[in-house]
Amino acid sequence: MTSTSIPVERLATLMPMHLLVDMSGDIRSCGPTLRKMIGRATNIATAFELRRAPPDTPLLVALSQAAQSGRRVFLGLRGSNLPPLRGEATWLPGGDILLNLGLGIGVIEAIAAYGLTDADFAANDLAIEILYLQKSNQAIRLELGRHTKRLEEAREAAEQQAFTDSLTGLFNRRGFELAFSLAVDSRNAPPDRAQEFAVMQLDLDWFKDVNDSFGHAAGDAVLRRVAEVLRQETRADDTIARIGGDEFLILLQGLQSRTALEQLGRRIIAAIQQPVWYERHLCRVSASIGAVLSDSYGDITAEQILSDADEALYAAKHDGRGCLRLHDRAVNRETTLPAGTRC
Amino acid sequence: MHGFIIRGIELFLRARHGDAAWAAVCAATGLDRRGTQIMRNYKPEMVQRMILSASTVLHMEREEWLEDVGGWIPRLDSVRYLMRFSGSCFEDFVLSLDDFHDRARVVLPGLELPKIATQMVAPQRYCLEIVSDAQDWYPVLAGLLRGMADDYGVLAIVERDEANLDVHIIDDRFAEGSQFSLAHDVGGAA
Repeated sequence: MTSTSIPVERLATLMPMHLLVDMSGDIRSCGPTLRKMIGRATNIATAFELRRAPPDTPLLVALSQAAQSGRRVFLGLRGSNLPPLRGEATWLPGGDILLNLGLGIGVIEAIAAYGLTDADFAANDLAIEILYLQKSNQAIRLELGRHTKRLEEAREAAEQQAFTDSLTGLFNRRGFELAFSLAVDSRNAPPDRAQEFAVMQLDLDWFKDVNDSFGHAAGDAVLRRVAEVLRQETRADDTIARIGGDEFLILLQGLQSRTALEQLGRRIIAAIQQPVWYERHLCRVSASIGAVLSDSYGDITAEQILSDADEALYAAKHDGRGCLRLHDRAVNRETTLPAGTRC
Repeated sequence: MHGFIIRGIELFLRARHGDAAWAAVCAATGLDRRGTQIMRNYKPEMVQRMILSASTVLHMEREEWLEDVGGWIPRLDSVRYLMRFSGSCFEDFVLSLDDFHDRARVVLPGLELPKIATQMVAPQRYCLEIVSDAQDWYPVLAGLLRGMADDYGVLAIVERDEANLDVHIIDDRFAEGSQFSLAHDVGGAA
């Protein structure tokens, strides 16, 4: 076997991260870049600890095994959080071990921590290229993140607009349908998780008169006032929507009591009957309500509920307006409220 | 919580359990069923809510489901290539998990993937410890390791101890591993 020798001083430029140690681990030569990291250490064991190896393996034993098998060795820099350096070892004729190390993914942190530059790396080392990639990737990601955020905000605003009635700020029909279909799904869930609900369909009485006598602006003021009443009389997780000129739908989650529903209807009607001043005009309207309780059904469909609410509303109008009629599926006719709620 | 993880779970649910399961998880968690976003931040508790609702909807044990997530990761070709590239044999791959956290951090800062401390305890025997509060990573990692062992054609036993994973390679030439070459993936210079 022929052996070719390299002068030790040439190692420094060829391998700025090398370590040449003798059999006791004393450092005979150390690459200038690695020297920046290990300070004045004179023995490999004071600078490094073995990683990813069986516990209690002596460092030098592991090194000679690595030199023999050609497998990589992982060395953690003592007193530092850098990922372990990794490298290969080889025997030299005199019994010394030559170790050439690399920084792995820790390269970016090491560049910052030890103020390294392109000159500190071998020509074939991609350290600075990694740094370029990482920094440019970071900058681009930041820009993309900002862009995404803006798009997301715009989308949210557009969605909100699509589901909102701009005059009253209540939901529109699409918004209501979204909440309503969720309520129908959760009502049809297995019994332990099913949640009942009630629906009110409300139509203003004499609204056309206000519009005709005092103009649309007066009508708009009335509609805004009605929206305010509905918000005040319902809870935060109920859904209120204006679905047409003077028609409203109210979804009341968890409401199962007929009495509570009727009381709520009376309160809403009474509040809506309070006259509204618009400029110098006193606007008077009232409301008719058709209502449905989901617990009087077996399986339900959204269409069925809405059509029954509509039918009950028609009955309320027919019975003289200003009142609530509950669609009673059990006996298939509308129950009548006690007198006094009529106007 | 980083959108990378949320989106990953979404892709898993849709690929493995279908759009109906994904829709059910969305209904329970409030996520947008049209799809989550990788570059967005989600509420810290979102992952827990997803795990809980997915295992409820699918009638699966939490651990079993998480292991499925891990087992699915090597089936993503782009990820599989990267992982195969980080170790020329299964043993190298297991040891390379040590770099996992730092590599992820370089690619996506803010994506806090767990720190995995790997240690060889005996020949062909490794002990993996996850240095993170989120113990849910253990079943995910176990699934991932089993999937990768298959990919390398290695017979390995992966077991959970109290606070670590025990990986024991029984036969490193158990089966023909799947083909692996980065050449067609990276392309470029001919």
